[in-house]
Amino acid sequence: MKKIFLILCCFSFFNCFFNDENENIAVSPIFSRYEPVILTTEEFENSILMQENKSVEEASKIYIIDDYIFINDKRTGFHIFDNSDPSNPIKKKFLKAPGATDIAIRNNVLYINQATDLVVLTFDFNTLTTVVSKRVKNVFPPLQAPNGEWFYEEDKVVVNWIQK
Amino acid sequence: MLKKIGALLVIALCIISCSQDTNDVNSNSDFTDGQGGSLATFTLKGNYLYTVDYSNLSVFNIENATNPIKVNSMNVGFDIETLFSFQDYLFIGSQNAMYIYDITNAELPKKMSQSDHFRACDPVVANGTNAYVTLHTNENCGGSVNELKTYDITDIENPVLLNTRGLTQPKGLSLYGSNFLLVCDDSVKIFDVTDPNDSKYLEEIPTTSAIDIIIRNNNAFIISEHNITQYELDANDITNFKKISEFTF
Repeated sequence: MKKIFLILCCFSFFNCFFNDENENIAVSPIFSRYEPVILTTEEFENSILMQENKSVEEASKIYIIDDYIFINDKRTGFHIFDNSDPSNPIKKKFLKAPGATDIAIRNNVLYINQATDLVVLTFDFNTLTTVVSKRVKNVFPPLQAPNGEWFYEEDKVVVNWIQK
Repeated sequence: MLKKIGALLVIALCIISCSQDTNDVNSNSDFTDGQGGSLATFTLKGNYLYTVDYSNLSVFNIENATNPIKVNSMNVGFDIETLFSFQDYLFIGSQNAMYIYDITNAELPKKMSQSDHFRACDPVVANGTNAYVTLHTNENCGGSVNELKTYDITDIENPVLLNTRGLTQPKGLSLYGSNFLLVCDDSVKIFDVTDPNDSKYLEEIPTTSAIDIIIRNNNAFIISEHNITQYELDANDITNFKKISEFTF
């Protein structure tokens, strides 16, 4: 099984190289307009956390299910609104998920793209609490800056690019 | 060595596909899926989660909901931005093109067509006969086009561009029934698309800086840079929309 895993890893690396050929530019620290926000792999894999509600910094995508609205705060997480009364939606919680932009929800299972990983969360809509059920690692390419720059270092994950 | 691994992979694939067959009985939709906007890169369909990233379309088997298995990934193009599904088709928006994939065979999406356009950001929505693409320019996407493109997709392998309408800076969009299209521009613009050859601008919802819109039944959810606004729409009189709430960030 280990061997298979290794081979699969090789494929996924190959995939990275293949993508990188397209049009990416390596980071040149002197001239770069963007700076990567970097977490260690360990920090990254333990970064998903349900927090109290907070202000919306950069509203991005919207997702609705039943009486709930999820708003992605770009590459930081999801604001969760209780919309039981549509005339008065209430901002309840912030699901911190550095690197995430997208979500899909089936029943009480949340799928999010946390930078390079697909993360599966089991969500309790009554208590608004969540646990990570599974992390499918390295299924998405590393985040690129808007200008195509990228960054790679072992055991590090880029979760955002900010303008200098 | 390689042979062994090959054999193991084949066995693994067989197990996966067999388990899928046996569980088809349970796939009658006893689940509730949420709904994303036109800027989404994730979409759920049957036992699968489809995702797009910069260049790839990936397929995850989620028959066991908390244990997704990546069953396929294919290179689509460059600068992919959005994914929209309608019936057995996926519509993929990139900065240079709209791609249509057939997912009748859920794990093996098949490319049906590619409609190139000028470089711009581009979400897509579609129904059985037409696809609507907005193109907008910003710092990241480059380009210098701000427009709504209407395609005839009756022949899914050969989409035909019917018309292009200039707009200010259109972003997300949503169909409301088959007669109306709502587009997030400097306001949210409502078009009558009963005749897609000759779509008509009817009215605007005065939400500024709108990014994307979801319509569920008769309710519109609009996300803008500054707020979420909800409206109740009236299919009999589209100009008669009522604001339900505005949550300012």
